[in-house]
Amino acid sequence: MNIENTKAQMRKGVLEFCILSILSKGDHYPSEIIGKLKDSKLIVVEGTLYPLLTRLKNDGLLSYRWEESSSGPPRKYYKLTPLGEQFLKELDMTWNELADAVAKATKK
Amino acid sequence: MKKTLTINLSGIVFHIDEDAYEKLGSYLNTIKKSFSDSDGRDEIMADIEARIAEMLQEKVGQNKQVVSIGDIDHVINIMGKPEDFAGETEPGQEQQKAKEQTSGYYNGRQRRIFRDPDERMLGGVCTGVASYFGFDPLWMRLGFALSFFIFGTGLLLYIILWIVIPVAKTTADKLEMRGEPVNIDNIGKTINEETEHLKKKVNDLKNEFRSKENRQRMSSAAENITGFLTQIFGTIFKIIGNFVAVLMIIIGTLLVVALMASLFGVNSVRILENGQEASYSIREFGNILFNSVYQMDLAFLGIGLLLGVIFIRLIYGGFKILFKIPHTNRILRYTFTTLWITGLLISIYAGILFVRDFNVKAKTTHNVSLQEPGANILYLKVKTDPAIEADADDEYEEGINIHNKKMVIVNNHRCNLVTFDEKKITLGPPDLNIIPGETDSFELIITTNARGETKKDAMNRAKKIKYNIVQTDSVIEFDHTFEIASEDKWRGQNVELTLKVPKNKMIYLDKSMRHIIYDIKNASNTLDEDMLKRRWVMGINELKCVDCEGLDVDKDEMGIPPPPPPAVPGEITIPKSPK
Repeated sequence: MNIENTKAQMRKGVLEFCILSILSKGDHYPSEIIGKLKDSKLIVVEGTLYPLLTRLKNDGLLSYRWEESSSGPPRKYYKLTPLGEQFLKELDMTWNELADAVAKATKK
Repeated sequence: MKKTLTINLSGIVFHIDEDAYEKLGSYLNTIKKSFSDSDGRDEIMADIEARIAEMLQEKVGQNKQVVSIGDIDHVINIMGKPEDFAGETEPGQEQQKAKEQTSGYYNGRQRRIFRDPDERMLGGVCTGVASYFGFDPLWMRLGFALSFFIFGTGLLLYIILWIVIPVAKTTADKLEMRGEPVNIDNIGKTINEETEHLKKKVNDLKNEFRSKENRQRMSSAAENITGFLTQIFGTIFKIIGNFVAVLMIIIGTLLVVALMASLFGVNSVRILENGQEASYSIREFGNILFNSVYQMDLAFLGIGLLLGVIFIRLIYGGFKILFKIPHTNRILRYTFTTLWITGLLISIYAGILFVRDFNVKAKTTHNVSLQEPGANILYLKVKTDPAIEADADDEYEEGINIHNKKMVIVNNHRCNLVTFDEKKITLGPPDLNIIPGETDSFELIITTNARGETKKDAMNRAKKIKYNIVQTDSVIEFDHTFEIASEDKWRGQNVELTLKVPKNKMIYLDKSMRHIIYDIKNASNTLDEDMLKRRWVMGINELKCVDCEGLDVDKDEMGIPPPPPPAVPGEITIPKSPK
């Protein structure tokens, strides 16, 4: 059993939840999201974010708009769709239940 | 100084170093291959490219205009290695991807062969070849180590591969080195992809023919067809090419082994016939041809280089095709050419030394006095190997045969015998001619011929040829072979016999005489082999047949000859003379 692998699996499970949470506080473009995720050590490299964002967008949870940038190509600013907000609420509830359950289960 | 390229990344223009471009290109390609169409590959790629452009934009400015390989390394560091992307793909693909990563393969680019400088024992050849075909380098090393003992074949192949295969210098090289393995699965995959491609193209073609503007599009459809055919033929040629390449390597290796074995091996010349065997080393043969060991070594070196270079070139060419290596190493090409020309010059020099020994011919003659036979008839026979004579009734097979460890070269119904050891060479047969004599008695003239660099050399050799005949009453037994001392070498030595038969005296030719009689003049123009087992009487100029009743000689028809008189030595009964 690879401990790194397990850690990665756990991180991955909450990653979508975190992204949706970050976007619920305002529109962001990928580099900003990465900055926040990196601070909390949920993500190590940027590359992994792009496929995830695309998938969430294709599932109708996110939408984006283009915004010109002073340094480089135009940026994609992502925001939650109503469906995304709904989804986030459910995830929020699940997370709280889960956190309680885990706390109970691991309590010594 | 470095060459730069101009690229457009997400609508922004960058100047980029060539090596950096290579690396970025292979990086993007690898990422692209890790997504499928359904993942929204194009969109993801566009996003990633835009982000990379943004990062590079920060790197370049007034003072630094060109993107360097360091910048690309930085970008890759931030974006993550291709294998990191796998973590975000669909769970179904995850296992497969993970499996590929643990075995160290990167997706995407077709694999190319490189020597691996990081995992090497000697030159990294084994690791390189093993990772090209996707198996453990240990087996490769073991195989090479074992083949070192087969006349050094492994060593030779190893050195050739070391030279042929380039070392993986850059990261791009190393990526390609670990690209998709070349194995059956992949070939199958390629074929599947090509079939899909074909289906798509056929559909495209159909649509184009149906469309209203099909006339304008006809030309593009034709282009599609030609493109497709080119693809098919390309694949076929690739397969044939690989087959030929493998064949070239195998044949080349066998030829090199054969060459080495024959030049240095002990019993390399092995002649088998009817379960009998004679084996010699080529140096033993060389000993009877070359004046000195030095001369022999020189000749072998010359021939070895001359042929060896060609054979090694063959192996090299095979590897080049197999591993798709486009250009020949220049140093190697010069080395090949130089070695080959050196071999040619040495061969010519050794050839001249050798041929010089055949410069002058000399001969000795001496008369052997014969006892006059009773009844004016001389019985002629050859003392030959019983094993050879045993099947003398059968037609000999032309070619080289072995009888009692003697090499018998059959040519034109005559048996040429060759045997040799450290002391002497025996050769045979001599040539016998029968001509009218001037005197009243039988005479035999033995002429020995030899060649040499000078008249003196040649004469010495001619004098030293040993040849024997034995006369017992009216029977003369000729030796089948003559002897040369091994130190004299083979220098065109031969023996000619001339038997002078007085007028009206007779001879009888035993069956064994077939080996030595040579173009004997006779009144009936009978061929040599038909003159056997008959009595002949000397006329004014030539022999006349005595026992040829029933043989219509004038019309050259060969009837059944009368039963010959017995020809057992010592028990010769003289046939009743005619009249």
